[in-house]
Amino acid sequence: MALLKHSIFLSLVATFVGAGVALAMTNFDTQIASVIPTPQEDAWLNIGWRTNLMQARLEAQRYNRPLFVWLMNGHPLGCT
Amino acid sequence: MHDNFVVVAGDCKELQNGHSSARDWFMNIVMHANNPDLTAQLGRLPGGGGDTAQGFYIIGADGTYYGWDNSHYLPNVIKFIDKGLSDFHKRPPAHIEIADSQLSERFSASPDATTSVVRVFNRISPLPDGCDELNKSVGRDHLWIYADEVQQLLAASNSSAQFPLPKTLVGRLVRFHLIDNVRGEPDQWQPSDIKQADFSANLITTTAHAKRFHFAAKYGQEAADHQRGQTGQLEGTFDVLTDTGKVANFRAYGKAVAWGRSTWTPGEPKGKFALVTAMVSADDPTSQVVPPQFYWGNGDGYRNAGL
Repeated sequence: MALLKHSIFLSLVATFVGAGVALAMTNFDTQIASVIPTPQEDAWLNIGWRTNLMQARLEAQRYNRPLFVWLMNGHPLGCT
Repeated sequence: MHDNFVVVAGDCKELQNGHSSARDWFMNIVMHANNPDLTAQLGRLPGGGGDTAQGFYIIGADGTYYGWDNSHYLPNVIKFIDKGLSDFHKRPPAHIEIADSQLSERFSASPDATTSVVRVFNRISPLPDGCDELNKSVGRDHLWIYADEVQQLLAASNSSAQFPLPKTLVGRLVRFHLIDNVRGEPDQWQPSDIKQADFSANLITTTAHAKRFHFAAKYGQEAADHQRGQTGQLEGTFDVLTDTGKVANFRAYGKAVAWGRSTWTPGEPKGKFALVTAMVSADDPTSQVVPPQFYWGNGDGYRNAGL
């Protein structure tokens, strides 16, 4: 129901403010969902990545584990 | 990975070129790794592969180096992980102390409390037949919207039914975020590349706690050599919360016709292809520690993106 209300609302908005711009807000939620990663595509985020290297060192020592460090030009968790 | 490692993800540029004790600790390991492949990657010239330390590392808490690999070929990665873990147990690290000042050190650029974060996703859809596998990836980034831009929006909405989005926000969107980052790190659009950036907004509802805005845009970019470009449209809604002055419930969808590749994003589809974009508000922990792709080393340039 909430989704329906939202869709109706956006359709009204699109009609109301349409002057000068080609609007495409029909099926807006579906369109957004089509771009957002699926749970399968985001599965690697569930590994439990730490973002503070120094705190991770302390944790590694506490649990007697090595660090696995993944570095990219562009943060792997937020960029490409 | 859960049971055998403590896993860390980071921006290589911060750990290679930043100013922190984490950077000093990490680069000391890199410079003493004695790995010819890593040395070669670090020594490559511009245009020949990049002077970068990026990749996977297996390291002890004391700095003992157990391996580096920048292969994304799964069997190689698994082999690398198994060997690193084995070497760790053969040569366990020494006990170390880490100063509190290092533990509390700011590790990466973070948005301040007044800055709103929007997560940006880009995808090639539909996928052209036979295109490179990397085109199936999802481009990810964070857009920061600053408090003064929100104030500009509120002021504009008081005086006009329809008004342009703040210039710096538009500049940030068209230069850094409306871009094909699906296959890797793209080249940011230069001001001279921007051929169109028409972003207009209007206030659609006002409640006791928020003002809701709608915006729509047409944009176009083309590199000076005409080898890369796109034309597209973007549309969405967002709230400005009265109490905090922050943006919430940001939702936008865009679609562009794109062509070409950036320096580090080879394998693009042939000819023109459809690049779709979604933008949604984010306030989870990751969104607070991972800055926008083009923020690093260029905070002012990102903040005041010119056209």
